[in-house]
Amino acid sequence: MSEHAVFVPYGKEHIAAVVTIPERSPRGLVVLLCGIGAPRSHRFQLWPRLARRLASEGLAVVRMDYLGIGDSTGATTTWRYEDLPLEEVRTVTRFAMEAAGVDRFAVAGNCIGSHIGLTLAGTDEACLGAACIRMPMLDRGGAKLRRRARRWKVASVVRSSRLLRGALHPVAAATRERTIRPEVREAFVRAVRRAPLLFLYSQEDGTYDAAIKRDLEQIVARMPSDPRRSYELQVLPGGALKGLESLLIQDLLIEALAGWLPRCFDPEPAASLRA
Amino acid sequence: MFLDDKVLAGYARREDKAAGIAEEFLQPVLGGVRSVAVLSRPLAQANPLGFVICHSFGIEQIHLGRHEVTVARALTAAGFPVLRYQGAGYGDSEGDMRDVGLASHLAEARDAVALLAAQDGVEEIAAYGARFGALVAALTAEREGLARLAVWDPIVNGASFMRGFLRAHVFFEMSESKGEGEVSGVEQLLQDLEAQGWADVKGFRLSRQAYEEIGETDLSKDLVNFKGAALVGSVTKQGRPTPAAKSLSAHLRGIGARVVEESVADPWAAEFGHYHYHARIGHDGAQEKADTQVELTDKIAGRTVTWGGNEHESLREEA
Repeated sequence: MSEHAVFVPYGKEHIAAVVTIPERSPRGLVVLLCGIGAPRSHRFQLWPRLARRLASEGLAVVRMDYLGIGDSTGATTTWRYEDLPLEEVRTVTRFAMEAAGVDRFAVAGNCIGSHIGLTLAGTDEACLGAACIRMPMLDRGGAKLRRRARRWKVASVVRSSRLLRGALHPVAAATRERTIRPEVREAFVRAVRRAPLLFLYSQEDGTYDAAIKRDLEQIVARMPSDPRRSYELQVLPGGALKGLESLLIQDLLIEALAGWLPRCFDPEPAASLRA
Repeated sequence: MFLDDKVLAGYARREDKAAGIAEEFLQPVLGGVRSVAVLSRPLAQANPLGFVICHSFGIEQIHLGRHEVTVARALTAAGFPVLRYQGAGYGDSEGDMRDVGLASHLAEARDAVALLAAQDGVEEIAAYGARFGALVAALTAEREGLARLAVWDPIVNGASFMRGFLRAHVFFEMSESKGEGEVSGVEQLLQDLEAQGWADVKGFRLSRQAYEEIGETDLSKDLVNFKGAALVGSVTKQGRPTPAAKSLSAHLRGIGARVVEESVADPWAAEFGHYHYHARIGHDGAQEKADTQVELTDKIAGRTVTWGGNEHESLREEA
């Protein structure tokens, strides 16, 4: 295995990336993406640890800094969910596929990285699968507010009073109505028709609950049998995925991804162009 | 088509003609471990004074990463060669969190100084660091006999830093809504360090060795020989020097160093060294995330460049 830190030209800018090349001919490329704020290695070296593991499975890997983050250039200081750095990722992916001599890739990412992965899985012919980690899917922040409010002293007063409960019922109902964002629903439907998808959450994540699970299952249930088989949901124990703030959740996440990502590719090198 | 290793190696370097700088990824062995570093050099004639940027500890290394990049690019644009690196167990380097401790930080900084000193035209090295990186920079300047040191928001007392490091974990546990009695407190972490030789502190594997060696460090005692020039900077909301910066400045003067004190005022000063990307609703109602440390970092970079320029002048006069 060899690792190459590079500056990938991107217009007038340069995107910092690390390409990991396995010793034998690669079976394909895995693109590892972060949310906003984490550099290409992610927190606690999560991506280098996974990249080295995947390289031992015969996969090339690339991890990158978005413009304005890490060693990339660019004066970006604000990032919008409606304006994903898709072209940056496409540019680095093309570069890394050329570097590795492969023409297929899978992607894993968290937060906006998961949105990018889902979009690529639905639109890019070369994308063989996407692992979406802790993907924010909901339309409103009501659940977070409800969870916080349960700890307030005033909450126990409200619970004990039928009158107050009745008065606040419409508010509670509105925040309980957790719906998947339309653009995410659309991207999911498009992606699940053409590539395997893994959705990863932890039991302690605010971005996940039974309603999301049910909604996703309902979308998949309306589809023909093939897409149904290509969708998988894993809910990890061991602490929140947010911030990766336990050693256990880091290890579980690496295990889950190292188990799933290689299955997106043929077991043998796909006519690798690399000697 | 594939890129062979030689072609790929060509992408390790970039030039920014507008800024007048070049940056190159290196993969040197620092502290005995294959690391990733970035050497920045001016495209024009470089000053003989180079800077080594020492990074911080644990998750702070990530939160201060862009700060280091911005400072390095500003210094290089002003003519100074700069080397920044990721030590064992950090970023893209080899090793893992088990390897991380004060000893590893110091060994890597020592080798980074030697690496920069070996570059063409570099005659003097200044050590730069923020927060825990400042502590590493100061000890490196002391041990390697460097004549210049630039630190911002310095950690002066290792024991106090370690207490804060463990307490942050306790606050995190509490904020994750575990009930009273379930809280994994400082006592529990100390027991883990004692019993198993390490503790899981918010996802960082803190070894007992690291805990002890950092806890025993106190710049007001450990710096005894440094008699060079120092920039000691504070980052606060009001722009006043912090107690740690004041005590370090006083100590440095006491041992014969020449000290310039700087203070930067910024409304986001409290987030220096912490996660600093804020979710907010944009002017058109769309969700966005914004980096709160950009202006603060620019101010620090500007003051450091000014100080570096003055030191460069004094170096020329000495010559």
